[in-house]
Amino acid sequence: MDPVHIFWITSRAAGLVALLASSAAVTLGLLMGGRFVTGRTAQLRVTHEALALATIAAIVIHAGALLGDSFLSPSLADVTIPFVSGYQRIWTTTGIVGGWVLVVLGLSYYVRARIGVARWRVLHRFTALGWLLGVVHGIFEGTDAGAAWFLIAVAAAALPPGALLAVRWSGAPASPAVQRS
Amino acid sequence: MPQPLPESARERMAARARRIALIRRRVIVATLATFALAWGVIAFDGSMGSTTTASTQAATTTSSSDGTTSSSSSDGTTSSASSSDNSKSSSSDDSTSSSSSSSAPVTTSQS
Repeated sequence: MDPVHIFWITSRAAGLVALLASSAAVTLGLLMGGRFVTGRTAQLRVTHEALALATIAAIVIHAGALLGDSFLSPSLADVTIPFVSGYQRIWTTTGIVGGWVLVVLGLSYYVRARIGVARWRVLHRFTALGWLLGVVHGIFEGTDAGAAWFLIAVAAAALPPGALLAVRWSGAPASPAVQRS
Repeated sequence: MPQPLPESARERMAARARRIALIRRRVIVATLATFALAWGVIAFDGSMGSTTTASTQAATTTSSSDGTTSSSSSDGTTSSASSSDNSKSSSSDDSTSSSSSSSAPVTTSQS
C-alpha cells in the first residue's frame, strides 16, 4: 500500500465509523424519545451519549485526516466551511453542514442547563437532520459508495433510524400504553 | 455539613458508576474495532483512485485459413483485436501475426 494513501484511507474509515455510530446513536435516541423501550433507560442514555461522542470524534478525524491528504490537499476552510471547497461542492457542503449539526447539537447536551432544557430538547430533535445529511453525503460523495460492503453496512445502519424517523414524522404513537402525556 | 450516605446507597452508586464505565468502554472498543475493520477493508479492497491506461497498439493482423482474424500481443498471449479481455481470446495455430504495445498508467483522479 502506498503511504501516500494513509490519510485518505483514515478519513474514509472515520467517515464510515461516524455514519455507523451516528446511526446507532440516533436509533437509541428515537427509541427513548418515542418511548419504544421501557426500563434500562439509564443504560440506554449512557450508550446514546457514548455513541454521540464517538460520532463527534470520528467526524473530527474524518475532516482532520483530509488535511493531510496530499492529493486533494484541502485547506481547513475547505473541510469546515460550507461552499468553500470546489471538490463536489454540493455533497461536500452537505457533509460539512451535517457534521456541524451533529457536533454542535451533540455537545450542546453539556450546556443544556444554560440553554434551557425545554429549548434544548427542541434543538436536539434537529440531530436527526444532521444524521440524514451525513447519510446523503456518504452515499453521494463517498468513495466507497459503489462498493457492496459499504452499501450493505450503511443500509443496515440507516434503515432502523430511518424507519423510526418515519414513524415519528408520521405522528404515529409508539404504543398507546406508553404514550407521552 | 451534608450527612454521609448510607452504605447501601454508596454501593448502589458504585455499581451504577461501574455499569456506566463498562458501557463507555464497550462503545469505545466497538468504535475502535469498527474503525480498524473499515481501515483494513478500504486499504485492501477499496478504490485508491482511478487509473487509466493510455496505450498505443500497433497490431498486424492476418487472416487464418478459416477466415477469422486474430492478433498476437507481445507477451505471447493471443487475443482478439477488438478486446483485451482474455476470456474472449482466440488462437490460431497458423497465425503469423504480431503486435507491439506500450502502456503508461496515468492517474487521473482520486475517487
